[in-house]
Amino acid sequence: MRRWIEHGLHAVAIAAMVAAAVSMLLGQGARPGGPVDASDLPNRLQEWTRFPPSELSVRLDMLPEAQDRAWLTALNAAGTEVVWGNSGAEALPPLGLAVEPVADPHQPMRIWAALGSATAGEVLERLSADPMVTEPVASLQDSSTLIRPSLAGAVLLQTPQAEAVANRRDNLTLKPLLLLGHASWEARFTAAALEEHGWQVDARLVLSPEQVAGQMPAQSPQPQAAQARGGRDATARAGAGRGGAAAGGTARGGAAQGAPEAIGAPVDPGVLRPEIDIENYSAVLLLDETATEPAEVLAAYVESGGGLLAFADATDTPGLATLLPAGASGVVEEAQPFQDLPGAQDTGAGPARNPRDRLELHPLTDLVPAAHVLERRGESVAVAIVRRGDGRVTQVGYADIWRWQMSAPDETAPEAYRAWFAGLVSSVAHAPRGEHALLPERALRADPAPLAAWHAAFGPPQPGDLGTGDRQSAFTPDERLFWLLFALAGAALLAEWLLRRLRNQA
Amino acid sequence: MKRFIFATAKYESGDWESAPNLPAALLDLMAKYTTIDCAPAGVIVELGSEELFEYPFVWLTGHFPVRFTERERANLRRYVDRGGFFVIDDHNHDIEGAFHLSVVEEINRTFGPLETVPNDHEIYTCFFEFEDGPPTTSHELNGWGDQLIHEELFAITRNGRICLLYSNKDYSSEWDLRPDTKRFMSLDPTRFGLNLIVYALTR
Repeated sequence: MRRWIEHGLHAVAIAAMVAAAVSMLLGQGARPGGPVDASDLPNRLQEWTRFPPSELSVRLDMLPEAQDRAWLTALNAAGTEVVWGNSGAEALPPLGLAVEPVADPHQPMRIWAALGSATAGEVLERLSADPMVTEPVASLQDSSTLIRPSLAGAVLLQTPQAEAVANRRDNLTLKPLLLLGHASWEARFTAAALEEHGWQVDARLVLSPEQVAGQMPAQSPQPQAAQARGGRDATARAGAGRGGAAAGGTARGGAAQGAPEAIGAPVDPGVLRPEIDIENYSAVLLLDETATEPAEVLAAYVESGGGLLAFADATDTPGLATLLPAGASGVVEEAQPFQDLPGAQDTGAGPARNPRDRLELHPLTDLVPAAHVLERRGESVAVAIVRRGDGRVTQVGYADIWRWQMSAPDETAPEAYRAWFAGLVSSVAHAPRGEHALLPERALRADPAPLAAWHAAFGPPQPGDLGTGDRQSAFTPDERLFWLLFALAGAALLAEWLLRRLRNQA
Repeated sequence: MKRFIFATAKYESGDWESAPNLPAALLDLMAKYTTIDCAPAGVIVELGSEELFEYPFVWLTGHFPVRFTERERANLRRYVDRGGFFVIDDHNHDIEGAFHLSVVEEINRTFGPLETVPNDHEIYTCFFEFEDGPPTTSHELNGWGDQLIHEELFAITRNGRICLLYSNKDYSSEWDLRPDTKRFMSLDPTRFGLNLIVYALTR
């Protein structure tokens, strides 16, 4: 009897092992399973890797994470055909995220978050390598552009169905700014505001036909890439020294100064002209028509990628009209006193609080077709921009903007004035991209447009419902069955061995 | 573009109008040596008014003790913080004079102690060159007042830029000239005034 049992157990063990082998062999050639929801992909990918099907159907009820998409792409490359379709009638909304530095000395980050219509999302900043440590940046109802002073890590755009991840991919190389115009309050306050914001400003301010404050002697090197505060002071001193010598001749100090007749020795202005080139300047600010630089030099500079910021009093500069976004100026809107403008302590809101409402405005009219309006005041266009070649030109209709800093009662006026000017300069500044220092692991985790990446990997969706008919699998190997058979074979062999031991035949 | 306007500060104490010809003398010099667009006549602006902030260059002088009102003091502080250029000149050039003592006390109270302007500061070279620092006045050379030649000027600065300049050299007497009078002088004594204006407009 024992012997029959031992034979029986032996037969069971062999049968179980044969069954396990057959199931494994059948699994290799298994036909595709039914449509799988994308939310279930993480649970199925291992199984598909062990038993690769010839074809897969994925129903996109949400956008898989980048690593799951990459895994599926690898399966696809290994021979498994992947077809997909939308879940239900509504396709998933597209999602896009980009992060780039702004052309500004502080290099704040501009975040472009694109959401599908009628989609709510949240922008988060990842504060460390731990993906769970995040800080909310903003809640969005629509596509938006956000500015952050700095970013510690990756940026996430999350919706209930998808998540996009983007990293800062570039840093910018900035050059000084060239400020051209007459010595005036506008020039003085503009230069100071931009310097205080962090720009290096090379101001060339005309005092007389022979003297330009801030001129750098011809033998001096042109300002190069490094950004540093106080640049204007240094160059101005150099220029002032040269200007003083030119003006004074032998004149030196106190009562020993030369007679007025000795003043005014001509200086060849050509020697002292700045080299307007994108290698030297990120942008040129043209304050008035007194700038001696020929328009063709400015045009070549802009065409090559330079930025030009033209103020209201500069629009009459000969030859400049072809560069500007506006063909003419409308009726001048006179300046208003700031006294009745509410201060910071007031809680009133609305257009009356905008300090630029008090500035003199030369409305921009006859905009060229390619021009874009950056700012309006009521019905009037106040600031416009146009692309010319590789560069950009912004035209400002306001005049005597310095009054904003001096007269606005709001305590934050100087800061707002600086920020506004810096924004104008950023809109045109030439800022070539520098070395990219992104860590490889961060680059791998970036997924700025998950739906677009899905389309790129697996092509267009299957039209209509994926269904369950002809794609139903005839046999889907079950891992648990495999292990069950294996355990059964082992148990049978163990029992047979024990029985043999009990009768001393092992 | 708003032209340069020379503004004289009117304050409630003291004789603010003691140098009435000074603006014309400096504007004459400015028109002679530069092409900077300037108004042909100066204006008088109350130190305690909001109008003060429409004039980023303001001259204040006097002989008598100065005591600013709270409003004047607040305006002066805000004026300097916002980037204006304010010149205070002691019309007595007395080192222990009433104007000097009172106005320095007011400055101390409003801004803290004055800094000494080094004699190689760019304010002495930004248009005409004054190698030895502030030019002496005939009042100093002739032994008026405290019979001293004041070697330096003093200032309050913001971001490295002079915002308030204090002089006890009595330029208000030296420069209080009708422009025609300068025709008979071999040297125009008001030239340093143009340096102040150019500095204010370009730094």
